[in-house]
Amino acid sequence: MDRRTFVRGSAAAVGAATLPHVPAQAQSAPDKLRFGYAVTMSGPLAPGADSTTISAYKLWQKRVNDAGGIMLKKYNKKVPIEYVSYDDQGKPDELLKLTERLIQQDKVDMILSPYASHMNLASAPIINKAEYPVIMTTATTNKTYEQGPRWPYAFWNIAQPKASSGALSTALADLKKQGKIKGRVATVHPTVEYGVENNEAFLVAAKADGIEVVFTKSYPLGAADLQPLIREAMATNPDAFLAFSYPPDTFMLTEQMQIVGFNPQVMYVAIGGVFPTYKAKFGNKVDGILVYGPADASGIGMDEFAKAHQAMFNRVYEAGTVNVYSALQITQEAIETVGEIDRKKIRDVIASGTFKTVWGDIKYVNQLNANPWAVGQWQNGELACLFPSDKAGAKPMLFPKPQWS
Amino acid sequence: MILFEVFLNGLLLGGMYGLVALGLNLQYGVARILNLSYGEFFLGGAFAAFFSLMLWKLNPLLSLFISLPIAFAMNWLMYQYLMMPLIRRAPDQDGLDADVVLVTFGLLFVFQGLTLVNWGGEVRGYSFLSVPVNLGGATVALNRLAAFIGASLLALALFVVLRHTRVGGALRAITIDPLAASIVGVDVRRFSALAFAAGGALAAAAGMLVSTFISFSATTGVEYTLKALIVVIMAGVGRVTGTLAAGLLLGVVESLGGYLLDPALTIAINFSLFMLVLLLRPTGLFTRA
Amino acid sequence: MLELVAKDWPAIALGALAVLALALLPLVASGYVLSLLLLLYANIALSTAWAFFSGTTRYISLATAAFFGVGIYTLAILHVHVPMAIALLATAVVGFLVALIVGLSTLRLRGVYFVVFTFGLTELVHQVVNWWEIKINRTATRYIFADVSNVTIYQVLLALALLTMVGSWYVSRLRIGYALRAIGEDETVARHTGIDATRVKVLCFAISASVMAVVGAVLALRYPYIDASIAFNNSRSFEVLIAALLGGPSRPWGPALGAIPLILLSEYLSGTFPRHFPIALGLCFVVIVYFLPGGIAPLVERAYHSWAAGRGFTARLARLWRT
Repeated sequence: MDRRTFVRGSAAAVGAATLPHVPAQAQSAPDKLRFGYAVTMSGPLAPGADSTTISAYKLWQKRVNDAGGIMLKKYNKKVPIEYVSYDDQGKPDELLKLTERLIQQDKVDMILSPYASHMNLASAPIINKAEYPVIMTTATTNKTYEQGPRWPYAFWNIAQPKASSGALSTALADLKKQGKIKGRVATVHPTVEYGVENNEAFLVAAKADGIEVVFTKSYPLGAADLQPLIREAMATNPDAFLAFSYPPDTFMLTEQMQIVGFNPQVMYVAIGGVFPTYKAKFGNKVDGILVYGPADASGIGMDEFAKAHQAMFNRVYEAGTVNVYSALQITQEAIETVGEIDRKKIRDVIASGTFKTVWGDIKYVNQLNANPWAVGQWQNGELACLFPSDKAGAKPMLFPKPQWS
Repeated sequence: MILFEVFLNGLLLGGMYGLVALGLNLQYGVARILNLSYGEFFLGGAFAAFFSLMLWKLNPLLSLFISLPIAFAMNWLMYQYLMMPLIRRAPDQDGLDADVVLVTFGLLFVFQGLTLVNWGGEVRGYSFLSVPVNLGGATVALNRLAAFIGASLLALALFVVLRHTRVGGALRAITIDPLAASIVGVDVRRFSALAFAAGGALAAAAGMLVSTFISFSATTGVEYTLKALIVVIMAGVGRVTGTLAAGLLLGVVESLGGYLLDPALTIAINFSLFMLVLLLRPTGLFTRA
Repeated sequence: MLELVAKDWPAIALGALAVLALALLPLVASGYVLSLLLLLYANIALSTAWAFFSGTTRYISLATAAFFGVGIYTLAILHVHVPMAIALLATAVVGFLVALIVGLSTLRLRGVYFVVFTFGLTELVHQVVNWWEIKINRTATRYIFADVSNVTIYQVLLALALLTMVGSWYVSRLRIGYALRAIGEDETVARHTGIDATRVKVLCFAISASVMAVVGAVLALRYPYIDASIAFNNSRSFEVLIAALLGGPSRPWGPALGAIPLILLSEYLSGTFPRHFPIALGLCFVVIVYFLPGGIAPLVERAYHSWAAGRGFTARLARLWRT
């Protein structure tokens, strides 16, 4: 052997001889697992972030810690979760800085997703460079297809525009083939990226599926009166009305459609359509309305989840919370599979595994959730998951939407 | 046909703008306090109405019995204990504005934070008077119509008070020139506090009415403060009765413009009109510049 | 003009040393510290530029976000076609020109009318840019393809902050600086003494806007993509206003004195009370306004003067050196 190896070898032997013999399990098990997150807690995005993301984070921590913590089999010990959290105030600048703070200053064990598409995307390069695996839970944008492959450590949990808009187009094409509709669609969307991308994705899919888009217009987010727009859409006499909307306009469009008596046979609203407050406002008039991003109330563990959520927050859960929670379950399972905090191995487990969660079975293909629930429908006051139609738990579409009296 | 309906809706929308701005014009025009936390009291009225209907199954109008006195009292206290020290030490209106902006901005943060922590982040809405009304062939929503009527009544009431009562006279005197008013014996401090408190109560009332047809959440207060500010400036600071008129103008132009040009431009049209008015009449529509 | 006397050199040397230290900080500091500081420098540059016009003339502008956004969009559009340096230069020019137009159109506005007009301007630009992007490009966003390191951005913003502060101080000693302050005291009187208030106001408004545009562009280099709501965010106008008012808008180094505690305090509160951050920050504002009327700068100035005139050891040393 050469001199270098000899020196190294003897040093190791000497070292080993002088160290006290310590059994592997007791080797410095951490007494807390520190999870870090920077989520919007003030400003216009805060309400959504609170009910979708932060609720899930808090609920998960409580349930995991009540059960003792996350099992690290390397130490044969359950370790409770502790959060290091920051308010990014809805500003990308703050998020970038705070993510770096979590990584370099707080040196957290794992990082959890921020809230909102542009925030999820802004943090992706940083967490990827620092090799922290993160399942992004509130990003739906074509950019995940375009940029996602650059960031092996970032995973994308919810239905992207092609999936949700494509599902709608396919459903409409089916109805047209069955002769139930003529295939004339009116779409509206707010002038924000989500609205634009989903609308564009639908236009592309509709063209391919032979669906005629007879009307498509946009409105500014925060518009105070959408009745003129609805009248215009109504005048084209469409079978289906799709609104790629955000919560304020989701509520407003639904109300104003009822006021003017616009009763298309197919109706879709996007963000906010799954909110318990949406159902509370419209009561049984929500029946038949298609919505974005549902959760299956009969999914695995959903009964306990619903009860725990009610107990902790004194309100019904929102479907988005289920999505975020599923990401946490996957993270936990990956950590437990690896047995310790080895972020590269955890990443690999997430990338290759199939997981049973409250949001159904989840598997990532090229870091994108292969088949997240994209479109649902209110049926008899409950949310039914419709698409992907081949996913376990999918229900058939109620057609036509019951007329509002 | 649709055009007439669009016009009517614009009128109702404008009524909402005017309604939201009435209280702020009292607070800034009379009491000379640019209250950036104004929208939080608007939101308070909205929350009270929401809880009233959804939690206690009561008519949201009844929530005014709670929200109006609370808003009035809180604003009165704010004026007496938080604003008076600033007024006393400010060298001029600009200096006062600077201090007031900072303080009310801070209060805005505090109120918003408290609301978020206490009531959480859901987007809330409820259905009340959500039925169509036929007006000459056009369909309007009853809740929006009710808000419009409410705005008109409040504006009328304010007009009557300001023109035909002694209190109103005192308030008008303070609006024109507080120093001169104090010289002729008006208790400026008391009446300013009254105006400020009344402005806050009006905000809560507006919030209650608007919440019947627009959803809200813990952070939407700021939007309404800014909407109100736009209308106040467009009408002219202190022109309380002009506030409704300015709001109506905004609503109609926004509605018609959006329909005739592009619905995506409604907010742009709103701001363009506002800015155009200012360029042509730099101190507001109804100020004798 | 500017006369440097022997007694000024120690202060200048000390200052230069501090600047050098900050410039070399990236060698030892973590990415987080750099991010925190570069945001601080950006804020200092923005609020100093803001006070350069609004602090002196007392025309409170809420158009900061508009010019900031104009800078971001100019960069986003140009950086794919021209070298980065040219793109940044262009943002300064575009910001200047846009402000020139705005300034010329708002000449008759005063007081709160001017304030709210500038706020409306930001919203209008936001809406129009958004609409245009969607109508013409069928997308609301633009990618930023920048391979600029955090360190470079840090150093550029440090330079910008210093340049703005020094520039503001320098101009305050020139005739135009006096003109600005005269306008702030009483515009009618200023006009009667022969000052071309219109030219001074519009020019300085445009200069401050071009700085804001460049700062926006540089910060945007860190984002993966931009859209109108990221670029034109009204809260930025308020933050800058608050930093400047807190620090003391009438002195060139005042806004910096406001930005530093504001940023650091925010950072501290955000970490300590994440859920209650807005409440804590709001309370701080209220407390600061009551106990620090006029902002921090006058306080610091008084402290400095009483130290300089005092009998302490360091003060005596400083006086000794000066004579």
